[in-house]
Amino acid sequence: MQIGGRTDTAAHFGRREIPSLSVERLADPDVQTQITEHFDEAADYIEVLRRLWDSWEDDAEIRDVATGRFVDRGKLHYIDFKSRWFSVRGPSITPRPPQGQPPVAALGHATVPYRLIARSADIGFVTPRDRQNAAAIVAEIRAEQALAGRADETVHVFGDLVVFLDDSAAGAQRRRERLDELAGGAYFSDAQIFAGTAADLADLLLNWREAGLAGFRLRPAALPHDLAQITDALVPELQRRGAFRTRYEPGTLRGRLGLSRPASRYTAAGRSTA
Amino acid sequence: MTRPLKQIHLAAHFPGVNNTTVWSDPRSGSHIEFSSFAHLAQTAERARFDFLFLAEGLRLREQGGQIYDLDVVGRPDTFTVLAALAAVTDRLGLAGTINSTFNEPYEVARQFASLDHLSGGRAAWNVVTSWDAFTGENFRRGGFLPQDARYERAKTFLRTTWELFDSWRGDEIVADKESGVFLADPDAGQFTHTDAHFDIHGQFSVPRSPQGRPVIFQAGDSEEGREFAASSADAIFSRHGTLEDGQKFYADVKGRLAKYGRAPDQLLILPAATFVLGDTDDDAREIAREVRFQQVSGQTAIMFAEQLWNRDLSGYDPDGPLPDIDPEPGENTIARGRASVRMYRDPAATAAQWRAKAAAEGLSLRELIVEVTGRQSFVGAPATIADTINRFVQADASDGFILVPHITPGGLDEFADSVVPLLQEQGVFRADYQGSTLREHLGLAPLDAGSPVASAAAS
Repeated sequence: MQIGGRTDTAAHFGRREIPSLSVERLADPDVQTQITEHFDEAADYIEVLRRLWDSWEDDAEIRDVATGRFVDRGKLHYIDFKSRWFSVRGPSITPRPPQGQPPVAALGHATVPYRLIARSADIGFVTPRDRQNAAAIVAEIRAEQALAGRADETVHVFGDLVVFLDDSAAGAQRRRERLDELAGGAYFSDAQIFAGTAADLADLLLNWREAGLAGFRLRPAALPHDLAQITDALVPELQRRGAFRTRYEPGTLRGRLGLSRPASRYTAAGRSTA
Repeated sequence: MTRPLKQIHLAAHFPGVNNTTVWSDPRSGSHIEFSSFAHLAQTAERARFDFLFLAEGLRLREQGGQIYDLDVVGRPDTFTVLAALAAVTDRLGLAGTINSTFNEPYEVARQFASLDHLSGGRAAWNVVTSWDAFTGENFRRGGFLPQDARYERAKTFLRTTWELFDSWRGDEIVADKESGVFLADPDAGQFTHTDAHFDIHGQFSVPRSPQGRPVIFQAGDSEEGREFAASSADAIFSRHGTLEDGQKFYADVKGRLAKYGRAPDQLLILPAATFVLGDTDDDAREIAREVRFQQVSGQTAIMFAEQLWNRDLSGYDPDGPLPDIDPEPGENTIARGRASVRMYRDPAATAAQWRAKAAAEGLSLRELIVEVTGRQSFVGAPATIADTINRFVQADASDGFILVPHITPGGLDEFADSVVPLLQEQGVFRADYQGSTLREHLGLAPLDAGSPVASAAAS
């Protein structure tokens, strides 16, 4: 889930105007209101999706030749979602997918997006500066999760990192400097930039994991070099340390992430536990 | 002087969510799983078809205030399926039905340009409009537009996407590592469009695709729909069953092209067609009759009658006579999300005709519905069907057909194996693909971008 809160993105669609945001005005009350509203709308958006995914119970398609019925329409549900931003009747056009609800992820850098991750997402991508900062972000998301009544649901927090990898730390650093030189300035990213060996990166990942991160989203700085370094050097290194799978077990992405498969909220069972 | 034989165009329609599709047949497979889409697409490609066609619906149908449960219900998203099919086919065109009432030009243009890239120039867009607030209830935009405003929006929607497609000429990406220049023209993709429906500007993010833009299909049969097609479409997906109706429609629509400065071969007429094959014509007729009774169960017959009568007929016996009461006049309220109810312009007169026919031929309600709704277009042995298809095309009743099998996903297999070779022997259907893009399959000239269209696709 990404929020198109930019003036130029909004102009591509023309449905509404979004005032431009400047970093200097970020703390102004009207800007904060605007940002909060974008994220409230996003939370509604995700809620609509989840309801639509639930709107077909898993066993709604019955193909009952004896009665001539393709679906049991008692297992198709109107979602009747109405809010300031959306009015959606349902049910979905598409039957419930294998995962029930595909995992929802969002990137966040501050309290308001952390709140969206905590109340609506299965995975949050965050950009910690260091291990201590990672721990603080995870704690903030957990606190927001509790406030949203989701304390016992799994919300994974993944750390984002830009990576320059090479056989020696000096080599990785040289590659980074060479690209900065070609670009005519230092590369900037919302995420921390790591330059070093795969073993160094493995050390860092395992260290940050202690802060409560469930995983990492690595952004290879240059393709294909840094991607090949990740798959050919980092992955075996992590496997040697017993910190990464050596093969896939059969199953869904949810299962791989340790996220349970949600029951449809509209089933008798889903309703009683809701 | 005789003109050379026309080449026939053939396409496969993935079985839809109406009673043409016989889901109760033991051979019937999933309408959702990718393997079904892959099977039909690969059969169509093996038979050198022009394209595969996906329909779309944006609200589940209802009748009598309840979700209609007698036909296939539910389908996966068009773009997702077509993108996946692009990976398991090489030449087959990939046509998707996408609504212009509830979408925005920027997103639709991006999706079709992406599909055209992923498929190497095989994308087609069947532009449809949505006519009712019933469907609108699933969308933030909500509501609906009156008929003339729908086509006005569709037309300007389409033109706007063309501006977006054309915002890249195709030669902008140089990606020169020596000089560090990626784009030869930093303004590539810039667009500004303002009219009564759209006020948008910015930079389109997808470089020019192999076909320049998707092949455009139009499916409406109204006066507005025909004009829309004549002005803007590359092909029409029509529903004219008989030779005479087809010829009339063909002449009418092709006759409208000149005023838009277009030649007759720039718009293909491709009616939907169903078929039943047998070893002999008699066998085929027998199978066709069985299929019709599978398609029209007693319950389905009552539902069809309700759609004309516009009232609850659940108390009637499908194996008995037709209802003796008259249709409820006024707007059709019993069936929702179904375009076909609008075809009954004078329900009382149609009901009278149906009663007269039933009385004259001694038909029950179900037998009558079997007779008056959706009979198969082509029934016969392979040679009969091949000859009929060829006759329709050579007589200018169409330029080919979009075939709708009644079994998912294997319903085209027999046609591919038995009818297509006969058409190939007669020299009226390609023995192999001559080009790589759908435009080439359809005999449409490449679009002029003002400069060569190559670098974006090749890089």
